[in-house]
Amino acid sequence: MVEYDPYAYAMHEDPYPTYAALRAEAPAYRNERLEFWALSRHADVLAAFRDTARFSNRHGVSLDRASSHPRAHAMMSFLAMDPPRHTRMRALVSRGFTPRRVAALEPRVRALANRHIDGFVERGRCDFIKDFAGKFPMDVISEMLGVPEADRDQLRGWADTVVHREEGMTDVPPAGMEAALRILAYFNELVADHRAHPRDDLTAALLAAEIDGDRLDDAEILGFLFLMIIAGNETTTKLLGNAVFWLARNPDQRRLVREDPAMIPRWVEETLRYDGSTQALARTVTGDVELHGRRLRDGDRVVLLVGSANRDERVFPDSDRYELLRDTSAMLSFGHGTHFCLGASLARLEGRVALEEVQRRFPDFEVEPAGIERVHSVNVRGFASLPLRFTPGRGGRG
Amino acid sequence: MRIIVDHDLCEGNAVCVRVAPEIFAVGDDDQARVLMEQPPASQRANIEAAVARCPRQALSLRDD
Repeated sequence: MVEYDPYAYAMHEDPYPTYAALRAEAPAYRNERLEFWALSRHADVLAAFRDTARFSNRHGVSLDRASSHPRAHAMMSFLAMDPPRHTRMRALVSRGFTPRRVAALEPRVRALANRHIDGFVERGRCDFIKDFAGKFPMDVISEMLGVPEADRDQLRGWADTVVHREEGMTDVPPAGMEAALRILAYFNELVADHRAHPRDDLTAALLAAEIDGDRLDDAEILGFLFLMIIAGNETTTKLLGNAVFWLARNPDQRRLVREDPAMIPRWVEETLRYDGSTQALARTVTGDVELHGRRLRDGDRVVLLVGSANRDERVFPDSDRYELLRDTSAMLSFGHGTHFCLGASLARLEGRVALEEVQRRFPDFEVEPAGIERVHSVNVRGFASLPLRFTPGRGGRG
Repeated sequence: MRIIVDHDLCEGNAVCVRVAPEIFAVGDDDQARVLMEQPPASQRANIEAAVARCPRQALSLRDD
């Protein structure tokens, strides 16, 4: 009998054989010990994303019990709401993230990427996560929100603590709770400072957002800022690390990128599908649901295994192969429908620009396997440390 | 066959434009627009794909 335990460190090493077994043997899987269901087939995950009435976000999207409750929106904002409340909130915040708005950020995003590369490119080695991928997305979102440079390392440290899990833990540890409160306190000050000193950034836009006289209150703004710093930061960090790792492991695919830089967006897309950073998103069952001969009951927690759906051989032929030229358009890495990732365009822009600069400035990178460390998180997959070695490049302005 | 864009949901991801470029465009307002009032039946498969793939479920199709 297949067992799926998202807290087990062994699962963080390689969840894909377990996902395959779930899809084949237990498409409506029940973990009695941890009291959750898991859906693993593409069709089921997609249908659940589309059906917000029966698969509700009202208790958030985390499997951790401490984060699953009717107040989850305090830290997950509209990701922990259903329509129509969600619709209102999303309308108020979405304007800063439209594809067109995001595209305008490209020159600034590229400059931020190169600033970090300048710091290590002459050395011929780096820890790709600590020196680059862990910093760059936080820079981008910090600039958008108006977080001063001096505060970014601290904020990132707290954000990492929020998602880290020690082996054997099945909930949010006290250190994670404390870090979350520190982030909220920090943003409370940031908002106050924005009120006192008006400026032109996303935080200011949130303070000013209004539709038919309706505005965001302070708690809603804090929740949204918190979501940005968690969702807008670590997922992109992990995506970049996974992209570099898998390209180095697949020389034939690497040749495609070397011969044609126009392949870089495909490098981003196939990494999102093959080994995306968001592996699992929880929902709360509303009303009883029959699936594959099992009965999911009202109030049950169910986790949608995006990482498994993206490997479903029913949708992606040869799904365990990393292939840049495949059709990835059915991927569910950003979710689908009501809660489709608001930051998808931003993540894709950051991914493309970062990998373009990697490919331009140190294209012969090789992974040093001895120093690799994984992140241990319930729902996010990627590296905490990914040492690279390459021919030293030119510093300065690249 | 009538295509309906829900402008409360559309966020201009332009997936429809990639799937059915003859039928959809995204304007400066980041909203999908339908280019043909009466699309030919030959476009039906493309339109259905665009409706299914819209990441925001903002498109629907009505036969009336």
